[in-house]
Amino acid sequence: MHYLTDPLQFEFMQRALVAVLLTGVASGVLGSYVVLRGLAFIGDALTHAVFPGIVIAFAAGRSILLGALIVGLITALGIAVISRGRRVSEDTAIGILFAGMFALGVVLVSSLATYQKDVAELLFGNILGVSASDLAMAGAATLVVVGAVFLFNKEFSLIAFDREMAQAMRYPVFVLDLVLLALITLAIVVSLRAIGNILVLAMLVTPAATARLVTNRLVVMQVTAAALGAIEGVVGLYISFWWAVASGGAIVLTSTAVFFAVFIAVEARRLRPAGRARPSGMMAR
Amino acid sequence: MDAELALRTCGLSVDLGERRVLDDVTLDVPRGAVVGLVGPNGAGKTTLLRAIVGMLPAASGTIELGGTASYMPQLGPGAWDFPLDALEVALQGSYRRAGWLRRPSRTERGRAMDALAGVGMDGLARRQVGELSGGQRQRVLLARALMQDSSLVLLDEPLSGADAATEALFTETLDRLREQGRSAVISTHDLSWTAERCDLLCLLAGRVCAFGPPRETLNPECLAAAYGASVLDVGGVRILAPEGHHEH
Repeated sequence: MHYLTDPLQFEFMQRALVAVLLTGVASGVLGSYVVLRGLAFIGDALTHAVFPGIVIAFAAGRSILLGALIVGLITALGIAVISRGRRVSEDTAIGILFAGMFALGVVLVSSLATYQKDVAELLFGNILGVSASDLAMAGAATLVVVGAVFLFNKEFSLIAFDREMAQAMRYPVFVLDLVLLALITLAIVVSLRAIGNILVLAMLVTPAATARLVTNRLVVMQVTAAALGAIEGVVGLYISFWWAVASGGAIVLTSTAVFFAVFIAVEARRLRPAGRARPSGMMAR
Repeated sequence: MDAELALRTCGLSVDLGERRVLDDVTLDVPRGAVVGLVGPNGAGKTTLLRAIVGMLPAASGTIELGGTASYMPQLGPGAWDFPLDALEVALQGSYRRAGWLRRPSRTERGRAMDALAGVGMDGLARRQVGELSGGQRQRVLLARALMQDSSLVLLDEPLSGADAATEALFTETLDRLREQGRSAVISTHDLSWTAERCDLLCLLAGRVCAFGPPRETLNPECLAAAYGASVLDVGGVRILAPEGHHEH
């Protein structure tokens, strides 16, 4: 029992625990759309694109989460606007902006030699660094993400399933796409402290992909992904505490391990001889 | 516009990028009429339906509707992996009625079940769409289009991938729409089906090559104008040369 309670004597661990719970929920809920719409690349791009925002905010002594959020939103808008024309595909627009923004971050960092260690912490996460104000912002962002998905789930799911029908029904598809990208940016910002810039993508993809393996219902998938993200975050956090390894890496490895365990279980079940009855349709594809 | 009309397009032209895809399309669709829209790949069938439903702007000309229009698009195969069941897809047709921020009501769920029953899919209402056959998927999309409750139903190649039972079901549905005084425009590659089942036929090839009752439009001159050399006359039976793939 003390394995579970001991770490919580430390205030930084209490804050870290809240941070990974928020990360898991926000990323899990949105991750369902990232996975179903094949937005992994755009998610990856946004995680990298927020980097210059972090550096600028850091140098200016402002909230790095706010800096990341603003730059992320600008990038999301840029991708959407550039890929609207027929000559530049979305993939290409993402590639251009993501590399360009990350390069800007690299150039900025190289000009601020003394801060390099701190910035490295943002790239790889530093759970010790979660401040009370970080938590407040992450909490607010999680609330916005969960609330928006709850309120706009029918529109988001229609667009994801059948974009053309959404257009035919005169939904403002472009605006709703931007809103979704903005929410993904928010989820990324929530995860920044605990997971780190580079590994955030895993939280957007892996729990949702795991959830998709075990359900054929969108809402169940979203709830499962949020629960998995939160649980994996907590487990990873404890692992990082007791083994003294980086929190972001421990959390992502935990969710990767869960994905493979579930994947193997589902495949084994599928390949089992047909003679034995399969419990009702959950796993069927 | 004449109250007897469900749709009137007048000199309608539509551009996709630099290319003029539809030129000077003038059509009058009366209430209660089923119009078959046929033409070779790239003729602009899908473009015309999209323009009518308001997804594409008219470069010139006008589109007038005598009510509302609903749409049944062709769906790429990837979409079907989505974790939704048949009932949820049919319910999508009611989303605009529910409005923003609100879920479809219990009444709408009942209506969606009825719509599925109308296409013989009520038994599979809770089945994930990816587990349905091609014909069953088309039926679910038809149920969704009917759920929109509009006076004009636009169907984009609903018969592609449909088996005989599904084809019969589409015919039945069209009859029902006629009885209710609703109209349909249905694009297809199946000339003989349209000849039998449609009140009016529009032969399209970027422009309207012929528009009128099937017996007037399905003559060699009109067909040659629309299809060019790909119409083969085999002992008095006109067949279309096989086509590679569907337009998008």
